[in-house]
Amino acid sequence: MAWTNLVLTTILGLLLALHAAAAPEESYDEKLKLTQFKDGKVLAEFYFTRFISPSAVKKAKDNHYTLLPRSIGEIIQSFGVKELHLTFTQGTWNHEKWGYSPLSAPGGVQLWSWFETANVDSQWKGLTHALAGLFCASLNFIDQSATAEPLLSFRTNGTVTSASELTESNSPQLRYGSLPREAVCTENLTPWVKLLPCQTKAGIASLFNAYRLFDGNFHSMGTHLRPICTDAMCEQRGIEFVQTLAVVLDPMRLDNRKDWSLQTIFERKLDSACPVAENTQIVVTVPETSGFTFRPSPPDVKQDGKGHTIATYPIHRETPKNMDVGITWSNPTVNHTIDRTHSYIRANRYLTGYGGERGGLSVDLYNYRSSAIPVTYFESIPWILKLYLHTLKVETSVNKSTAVVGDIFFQPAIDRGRPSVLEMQLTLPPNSTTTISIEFDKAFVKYTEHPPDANRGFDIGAAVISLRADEGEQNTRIYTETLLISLPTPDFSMPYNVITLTCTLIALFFGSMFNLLTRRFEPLTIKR
Amino acid sequence: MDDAIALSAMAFIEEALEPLYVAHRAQLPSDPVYGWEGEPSGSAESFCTRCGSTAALEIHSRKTPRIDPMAHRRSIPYIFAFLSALCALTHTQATSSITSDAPTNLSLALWSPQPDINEAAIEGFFASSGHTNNWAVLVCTSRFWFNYRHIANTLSIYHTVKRLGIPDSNIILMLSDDVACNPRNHFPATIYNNAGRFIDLYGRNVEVDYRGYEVTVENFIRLLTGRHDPDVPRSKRLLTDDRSNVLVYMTGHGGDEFLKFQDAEEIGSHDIADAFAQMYEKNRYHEIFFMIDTCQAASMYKRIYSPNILAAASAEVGQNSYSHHVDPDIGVAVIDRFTYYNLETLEKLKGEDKSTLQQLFSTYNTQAIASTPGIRTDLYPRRPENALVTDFFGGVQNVQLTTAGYKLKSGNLQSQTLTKQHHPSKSGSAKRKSMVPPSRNNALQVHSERGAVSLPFVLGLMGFMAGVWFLSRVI
Repeated sequence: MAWTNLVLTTILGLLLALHAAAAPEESYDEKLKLTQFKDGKVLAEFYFTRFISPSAVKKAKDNHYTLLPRSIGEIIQSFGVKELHLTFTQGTWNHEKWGYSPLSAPGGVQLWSWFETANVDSQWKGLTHALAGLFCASLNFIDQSATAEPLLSFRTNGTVTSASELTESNSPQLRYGSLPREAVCTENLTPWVKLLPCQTKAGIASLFNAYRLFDGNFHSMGTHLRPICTDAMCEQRGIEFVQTLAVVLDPMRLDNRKDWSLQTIFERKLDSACPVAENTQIVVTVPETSGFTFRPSPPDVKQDGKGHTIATYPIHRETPKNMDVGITWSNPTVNHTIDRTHSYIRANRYLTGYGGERGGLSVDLYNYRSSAIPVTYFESIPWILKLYLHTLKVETSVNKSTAVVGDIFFQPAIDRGRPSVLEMQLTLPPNSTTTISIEFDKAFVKYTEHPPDANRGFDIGAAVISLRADEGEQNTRIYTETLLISLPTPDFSMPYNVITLTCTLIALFFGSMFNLLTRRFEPLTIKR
Repeated sequence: MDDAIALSAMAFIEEALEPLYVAHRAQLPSDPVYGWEGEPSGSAESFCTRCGSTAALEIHSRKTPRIDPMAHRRSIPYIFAFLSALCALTHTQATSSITSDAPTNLSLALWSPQPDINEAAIEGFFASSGHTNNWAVLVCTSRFWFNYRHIANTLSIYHTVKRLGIPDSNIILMLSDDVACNPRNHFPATIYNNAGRFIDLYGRNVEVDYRGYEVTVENFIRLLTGRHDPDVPRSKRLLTDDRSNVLVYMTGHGGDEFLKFQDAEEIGSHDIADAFAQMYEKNRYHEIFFMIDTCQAASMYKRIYSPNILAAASAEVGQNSYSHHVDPDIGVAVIDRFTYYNLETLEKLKGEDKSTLQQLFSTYNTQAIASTPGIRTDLYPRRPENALVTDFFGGVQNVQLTTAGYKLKSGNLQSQTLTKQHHPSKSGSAKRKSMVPPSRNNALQVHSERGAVSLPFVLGLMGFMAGVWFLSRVI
């Protein structure tokens, strides 16, 4: 009998070992958050989250990819990227009405990345080119003259380095670039969707309907990659790769009704969960506690205590096909009031001055709370605006004696080399408006440096205001408007005119001089 | 004279072999397990493969339809003909093993009894393109919303070439403005080339390689000549070789010998001609079809001097090229006439269509297009009558089927099973080891035909060949 016992124990041991080995190396989750605002607009936030364990990362280094897309894996490896955040955005996030969302982003393209490598500049250039090819965008226009190195903003979301690794030679470095004028359309969505395990064939991504996604008030497509510690000492690091898509759609505009469902806002229904996903869920948030019905009735409803009702629908393989989640309102009125309790900081940036020679830049920062709020202000301004630091002014509407400004970091621009970077630690006094203003001269750029549509002007990327996170929350960033500034444009046909005029003058001068010099003047004797 | 002798010899051999061939075909059903149970007759198989490849190489290397005139010994054409016939015989049974259809054409031609069909088929074989991959460079050079039609032109051609089989990786699409997601566009994320709005050219799956400010003369010439910054990704490079047929389609606003890029700079006809010349020197193309839809478009191909380039333009020098019609909901013209009438033909084509470019050109109606399309053929020795539309607008499906399996590393049971599944005819030894009689399926049948060249049949053929050779020596 001892023999049988031995065999049984061995088998049991083997099974246990197998089970331990089968602990998930990689996991994939899908989540769709649908939030209706008081004005009737619906925000749909898609999260496609992959976690790649340290052992799977090691395998990826030997070109064994499972859930991590190979194109992304190769980018991480060849460019020494530790953390990467890339967003393609169309429209402006309305902080006042829609509150703060981790998926809000500035218009156009924003890319910031932490590197852990030598020669960061060449790696950054390679990264922008590679991403340009991958996402069909002009990211290669983020060259040295558009790249900033923020010191205070854009701290890493992940755990880049353990304390023991923080040495001078190997310290992680940050690069930031943005293209405020980059168009975002189907050609960017196409390659982005191809990175998803089920593409648009199954799961919540099957709701993607380009005609509706690009018809919203706001659209932002994000690719985020960050390292995650898997043990307390941070000796082992996995990778979290999240693709996000946020879109604000307006049922009021589409149907003139506050009611909505997946069918009415996306013209699609949910057929099945992505089989690769371990969890798929749809979360619907409504800013009311009554006056509406969820369709279909959710298995789980709760109130969050801030006046929101949250319904959760887990999606399984058994979930019936053609699932259509939505809300029917008994009270059809919409409410356009602004709730300051959730969006207590607002920023508004604008240009001042007139004429083609000089101008000014001002930012109003509003604090609606009755307590002082510390924020970090970041601005990267292209070299075409020559900022004068001595004109930098910070004024606040209330108590002028309090110290508003903490640290200031200013990096002057180098023509065609790097942008001006202005970073400030500010403490916004309670219930105040703080205005930062600075003056600049507009550069005369060479006529070949103007874009083809020169008279449209140059775009200045959004300023970034980072709020210090509340307990247990991610850092919140809010973005100002992008600005359009017109530089003095030359007459582009001027070289032609100059050449024509000069040649005419030379021809006249040369012709008459040649004539005079070569002609012999002789008295003509006329015989009679 | 040699040609005639060779052809008649082939006809003779063909007649002589006919009964054998029939018998051989007839043998198959009666002996179904032969292919894997019996001797695999490796020697015969390898012999045929070798002769097949040598014959094919021989034919490929020749540019003219004449059989080598240096063959002064009378026996050589006979032997060559015989080898070809032999290969034709074995290969027609397993045409799937032939990668390009060119040798098939030839072998069929040799088999067919009427001499005029033979000639036509041989002519057809030598006229066939000989390219192994297709590329398309589609350029819209116009910025601004009111040039919607130029983007629609380019995307229409993109739609066509994609439908006819050129993959996105082989298409370089340059669009100088974002019209689909332009705020002026009443139908977001769409581009239509017809007021009926039948096809959304943007669709769900579009990859634009160069867009916006990236569409410049410099980038276009860099693309053609392959001189890029080392960091430029593959998707922005034209990775062609000397077997690539390249379709270059351009549209925009132009004039006599220039085409405007983004309303800010111009490319001249000399620039294009020199870029093509550099491509030729670098073996970057096999043939180019240059198509341009702009005013005075014919002036743009005037300066090209490199060989194997065919060009078509929307208008002669001195003529304007006009738009076709306006979509009142979009508010601008949606397509140009020349492209519109090209699409009328192109959109009806299927992947295997045998229409020639000459047939496409003959559909051009000066009245409808409102300008006289220009066609330049003097640099194109193959003639547009012989060039298929799909030689440029379609993709080559390079499928290689082999009857020989690739042996994975031995010692791995799993890999052996894999080999067995994928290449059943070749894994004879594995089958024998397993001692399980294999079940037949269609895939097996195809392979068994190929493998069933019987030993006596091949020996007989060899004997016959030796006899012919001996006779030729004696006589």
